[in-house]
Amino acid sequence: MSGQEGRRQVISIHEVTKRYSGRTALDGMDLELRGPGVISFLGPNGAGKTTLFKLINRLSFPDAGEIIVNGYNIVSEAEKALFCMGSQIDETRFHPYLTGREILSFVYLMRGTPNDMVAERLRIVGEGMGITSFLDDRFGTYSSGMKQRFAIANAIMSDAEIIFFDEPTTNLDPSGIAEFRNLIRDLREMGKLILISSHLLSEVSGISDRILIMNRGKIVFDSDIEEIERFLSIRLEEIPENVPKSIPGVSEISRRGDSIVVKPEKGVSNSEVIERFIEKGLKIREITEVEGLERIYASRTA
Amino acid sequence: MFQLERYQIIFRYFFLNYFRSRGFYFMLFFVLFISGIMAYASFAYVNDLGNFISVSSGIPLDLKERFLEYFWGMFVPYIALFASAFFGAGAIAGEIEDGTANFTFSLPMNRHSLLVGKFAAAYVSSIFISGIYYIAQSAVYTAIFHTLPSYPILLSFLIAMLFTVSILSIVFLLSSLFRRTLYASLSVVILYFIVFQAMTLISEIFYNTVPQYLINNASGAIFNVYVGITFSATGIIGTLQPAGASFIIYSSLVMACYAIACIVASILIFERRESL
Repeated sequence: MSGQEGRRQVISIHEVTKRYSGRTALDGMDLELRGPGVISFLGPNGAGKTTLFKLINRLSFPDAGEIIVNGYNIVSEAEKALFCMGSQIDETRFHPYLTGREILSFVYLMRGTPNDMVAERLRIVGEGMGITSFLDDRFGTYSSGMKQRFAIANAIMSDAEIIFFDEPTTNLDPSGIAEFRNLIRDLREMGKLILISSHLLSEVSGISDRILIMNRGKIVFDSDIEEIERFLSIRLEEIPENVPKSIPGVSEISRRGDSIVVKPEKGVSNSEVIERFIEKGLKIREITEVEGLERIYASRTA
Repeated sequence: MFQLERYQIIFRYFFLNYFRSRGFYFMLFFVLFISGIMAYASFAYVNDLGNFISVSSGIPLDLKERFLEYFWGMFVPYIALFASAFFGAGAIAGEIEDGTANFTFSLPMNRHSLLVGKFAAAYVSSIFISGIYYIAQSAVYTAIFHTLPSYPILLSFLIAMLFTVSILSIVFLLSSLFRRTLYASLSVVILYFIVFQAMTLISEIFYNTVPQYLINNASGAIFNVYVGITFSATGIIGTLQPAGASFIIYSSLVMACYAIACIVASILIFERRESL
């Protein structure tokens, strides 16, 4: 994430360890997360993603180490640290006998929003998140999808600098998922640091600036998205007996079934690869981008 | 933001949640039901009090009035206890159990502010329930004796308010220890009706003294302001006169000590409580 040094949003995690009844959920984690941008945490269930989010949000306490959010210790200066953050963690639930409006008003007031500005802020968030139609219903009557939308609205409404989303597209329909992706892009443009935890690669691959893969309480991979290798799977009209060993602009070529998998060199676009293939007299039937991330994920979490 | 303003916001939010909960309506039904039974008993037995308390005849009107209030007052600790358990047991344990902790615990506020705000909401809800009982008591008293209730009923209500603070503090302490509302509720009932009663019984039998430092015995001040008798393992003890000021002050101090100790302990435990 070039050009992001020195920005306001910084989460520093120093030697953090967390154990649950003998099981190590986080193992001496050292990490620095800087904004703005979108940082995604990938990993199988039980990798420690939610534990990490809970520790940063004071929902849990580390057995060792410390967490500093924008210069504030999350344990000893919790109030100031939490003021910088908005979160949707795990399956965030709200008090069932209160309406969405009452719940969000409470959050605004707790964050020091003047009473006479709350209604206007709620109108903007309600319209922006598409929750206005059920904002006056009690939370206990919401469907799973409505609850998820509401939880996301709660995370972003506070104007926090740092926003957490834990498995955010759970229970969302396809249009809701598309809206969520647009929301993330908008938030990034607004200069926020967005942290997403997921075990779905497809959920985060198109919107992240930095990817971290966790397994068994440790960070096993950490890279900017631009540095993650890209592969192309190419189906030809007819596969030649001898697959060319070198094609300009392509650094690796291998055959996989009835397709050829190639790794384009840095800065080489898909259309340039197609042109090179045509120049070699190879007719392309179909070309698919294969995420290098998938390969990395599979090897690091095996 | 001023701390007091913050407490008010938290109080309003959680009081509204309590007020709309099923538990609130259950307690409302419970207290109306008990009040109805007590009203029936009052009208049925007030002129037969001689047989009821084994006094042959000639009960003065003053004693009759105080006995009526005494019988009503005997149920106040139980109403306060159940109301406190209903509204307080889920204060922390319920947040963790229901998954709302991820929301409330991550709000930018000190944990003790949250606890104090929630305590105030649970307290007002509990007092509201006890208050209905006292209103019913006063109405029945007025209907029977054609006069407004005497001063001791106000004193009894004040002691009941203090008792509610102390019992709610115990409930909050248990709620901060457990992850399930049911465990916190059961624990307070077991503590009050089994542990404290057993300790009282042992003390009465082996040491021939009522341990007034136990909250269940201190709660006697709520109805001893009318008549100073207590039903114990060794029989009925005390006098037909109202309890003295020293007894009431001592009982109130016991309640205050329980309240302070339990609230401090629950704040300390809650500071490090984790969501599931």
